[in-house]
Amino acid sequence: MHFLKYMTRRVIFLLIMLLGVATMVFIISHLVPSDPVVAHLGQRAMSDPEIVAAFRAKWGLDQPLYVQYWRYIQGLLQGDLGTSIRTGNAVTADLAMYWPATFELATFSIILAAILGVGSGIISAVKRNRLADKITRVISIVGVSMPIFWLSLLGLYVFYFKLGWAPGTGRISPTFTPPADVTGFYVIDSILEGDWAKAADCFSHLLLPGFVLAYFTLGLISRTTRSSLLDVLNTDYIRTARAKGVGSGLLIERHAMGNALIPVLTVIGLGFANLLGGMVLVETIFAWPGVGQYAYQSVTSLDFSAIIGVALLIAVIYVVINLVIDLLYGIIDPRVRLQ
Amino acid sequence: MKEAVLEMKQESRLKKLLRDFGRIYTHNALFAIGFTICLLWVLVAIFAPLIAPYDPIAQDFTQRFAKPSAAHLFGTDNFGRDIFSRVVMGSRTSILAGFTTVILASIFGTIYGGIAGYAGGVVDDVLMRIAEMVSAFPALILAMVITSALGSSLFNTLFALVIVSWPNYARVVRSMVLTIKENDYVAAAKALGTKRSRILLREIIPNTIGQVMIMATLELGNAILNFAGLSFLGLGAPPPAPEWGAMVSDGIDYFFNWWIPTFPGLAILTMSVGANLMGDSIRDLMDPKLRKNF
Repeated sequence: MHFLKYMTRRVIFLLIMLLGVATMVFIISHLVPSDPVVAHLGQRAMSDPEIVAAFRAKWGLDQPLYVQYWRYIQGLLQGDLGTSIRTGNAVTADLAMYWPATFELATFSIILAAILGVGSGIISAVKRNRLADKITRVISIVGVSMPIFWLSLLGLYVFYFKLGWAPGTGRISPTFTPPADVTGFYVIDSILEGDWAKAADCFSHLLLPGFVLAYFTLGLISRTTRSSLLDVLNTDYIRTARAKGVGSGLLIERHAMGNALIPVLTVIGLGFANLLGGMVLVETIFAWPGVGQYAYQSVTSLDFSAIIGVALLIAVIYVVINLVIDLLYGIIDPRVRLQ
Repeated sequence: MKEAVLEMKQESRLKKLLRDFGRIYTHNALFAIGFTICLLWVLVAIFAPLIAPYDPIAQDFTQRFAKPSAAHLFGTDNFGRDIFSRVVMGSRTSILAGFTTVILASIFGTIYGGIAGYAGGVVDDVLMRIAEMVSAFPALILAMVITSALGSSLFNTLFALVIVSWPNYARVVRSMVLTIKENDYVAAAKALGTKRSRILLREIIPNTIGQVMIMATLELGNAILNFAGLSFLGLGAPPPAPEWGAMVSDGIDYFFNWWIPTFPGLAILTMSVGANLMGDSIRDLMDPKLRKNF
């Protein structure tokens, strides 16, 4: 009962937040000097007032702003995000098409970042102030400072062009046909088809962009793990466990990690949301057919419906991630009550 | 007399600051490295016209795609422009962008968070919900939406960066204000009939400045990276202005000439590493829980 009440409150908050986000993006994208008509019609068409008027009427751009807003919100409530001016498809259909690619890449890189980040953070905390700690620290600071678009280009240059280890851009080599859509993850769908060669090919395409994105987030996770574990290691109960002769491996694993994990989880969640920002850059370079690339193309062509769609999608993901983290707190630490 | 005392007090404060700085600089290697890197870049930016051997936008089609050599330290790009000169001149834009963003965002965020925390109640709720909505977006995506809507120019890019980065300051300042406003001297000021705005500006906000400055140092690296990312996407100042991010994006079309993206990218990396080393060390020094570890 308690849980139900909590969930209802969170969901209501989510809806209010989404309405706010939709309004905000609507305002930003409509109260501005840029004109989508200019972006979509060529110079020749622009000089013909009839074409311009027809274009405006077709997309409802001739209506006053509050009418456009009202129509937009009405559509939203019915799950309609409008039609993309650029692709001519419903925005929801576009997002459904592009999202799996982004989700697969983001999931892969957050797993990489979590494993490497938590691992290096533990080493850093245990070997505090020794060489291993200092090296980890420098690696993670460089990671947080890395312009990922540059790292992507260099990665492609070295591992694809010079060494030939990595496959080129995209999700799958042209010699394969994309697997039938079950989960939307190419690697898993290929395995489901029983085609291991295809799965390996898709996986190899994930590696380079996955590592680039992971490196960016890894530093944050590593630093948080370190400081949070150090905090816990300084507590009395750990000192007691030590005095009782608990070995340091077991000490970390059984006694300290549980308590140290909470801030780490938050950072992993935030890291996932941050990844989605980095996606725009990485997907553009790796020709990865995901939401990031879609966002970039929509933005450059002032495709407002698509832009708001992407923004809403990302805001939903952000809020959902936060909710999941909050729920996980309760599982990891029974003292945390859901309120 | 009073003025003299005041002067002495201020002088000693400055001295203390310098002494603190000297101690951090000599005892914390990472801070020293970070600070030195940033200082070098600032010097490069100040003396850029003296350092750059060529005009950064002068095209020389006889010299296209020249590899790095004595004549062109970092090689030349597809227009035969000297990349070294462009990197040097580009430092001005990057530093300007980084500092402007951080300063404006911290001022706005501090006042916003201060008002929310001091007013409390419904005002607090509404203001902070708005801040949360803004931070529900990855910074780069929101900045991209704003810049593209306003049209790309240096001013609009900076505006977008400020919009995406102020909520962080607001959140931190608000939570600080919640405790600061319970202090007796605030109650005293209130009892004296001091205006609310004056209490906020003179009694409360000054206490948050230390923390805000630490945050600003930490955010500097982010601001530089986001600015580079936007100009990489073509949402910075229009060409041919030398901008590091835009120069890296030239490298996509001329993929096989490695020097075109490599050097401007290194410039972005070193500058943001410098800022982050500095910010990270200061944060650890200020955090009493971590202090003993360094």
